[in-house]
Amino acid sequence: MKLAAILLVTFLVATGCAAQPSENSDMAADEMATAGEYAGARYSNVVASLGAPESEEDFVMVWGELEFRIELRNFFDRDDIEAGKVILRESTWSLDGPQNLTVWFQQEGDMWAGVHSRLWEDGDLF
Amino acid sequence: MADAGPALKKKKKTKLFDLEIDGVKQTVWVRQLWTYKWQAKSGMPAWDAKQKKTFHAQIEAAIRKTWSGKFVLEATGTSSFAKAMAGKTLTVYFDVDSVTSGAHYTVIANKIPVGTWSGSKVSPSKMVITIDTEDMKPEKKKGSAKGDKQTVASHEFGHAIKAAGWSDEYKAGHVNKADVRSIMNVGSKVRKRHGAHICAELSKMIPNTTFTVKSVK
Repeated sequence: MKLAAILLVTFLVATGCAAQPSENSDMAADEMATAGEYAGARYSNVVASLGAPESEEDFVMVWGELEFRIELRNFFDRDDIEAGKVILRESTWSLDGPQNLTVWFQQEGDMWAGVHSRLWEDGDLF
Repeated sequence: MADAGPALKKKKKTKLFDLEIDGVKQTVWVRQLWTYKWQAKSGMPAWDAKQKKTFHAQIEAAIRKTWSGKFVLEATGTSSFAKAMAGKTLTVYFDVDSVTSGAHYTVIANKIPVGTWSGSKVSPSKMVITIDTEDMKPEKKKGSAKGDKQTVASHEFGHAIKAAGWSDEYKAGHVNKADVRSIMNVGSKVRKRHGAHICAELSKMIPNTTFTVKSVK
């Protein structure tokens, strides 16, 4: 019986069943992991690790931010956003191939701390 | 080879959608086939069959509200179809079907808590649309005209039919950046230019026939 179970598991792995995307899977695990990876990270440390970003923009967040930045709403109170209190830095690095990483930092005193990040590819439309 | 004149019914599969011309009914159907990949944010209960069905119905309704019945086409040229269509128009309707094989796009449907946000997008290189359960709610976007609200699902569908080439009209330097009421910008309105790719594909279907968008309802 035990042998049969081992053989069944071996067969399933060998035929790739374990690698199939399951229905009702968690939201893109790699992207979620990356999104959390830079939370709280100091801007200077991220730049030391990844090098100077390819592009960068400091901005005052508004509630109607477009789709690329929409997840930032999850991190701040609407009242603070609408009062213009949320000042962010958006820094983007080119990674391997078409992949890019954008990290958003919030100004905290004289430093910038990571809030959120997003992996995306050249050609993605938001 | 002579075509069938106004009685012509013709179908064609393209990379982004299937097309069906009906000269008698004066309609063009644009049908896109989706294979869903259902995902739920950690802590959210898994999608059940009823939720999946409701989600598809809601997103199709949002897409149809924005896009269906809006493009009014004319067909010109030397074909008997074009001659028979002189002075007549065809109206474009949209349909999105859920399939298990042969899809144009894989659609990653993310189930997220009400009142939270997840980034949606279209990846033309991978033929993947990423959308979520909050994408059917019209919202005012940064830079939009007074009173105008956009439904994200409709905007993303526009990308999937190549309504703005492969671009976002709100990007700095875009030729249509000033048209903030456009659905492919930050607004909600379909423009004639958004039907250009569909017309290009239709014009390949009947020899000596050119389809153009005459107006938008």
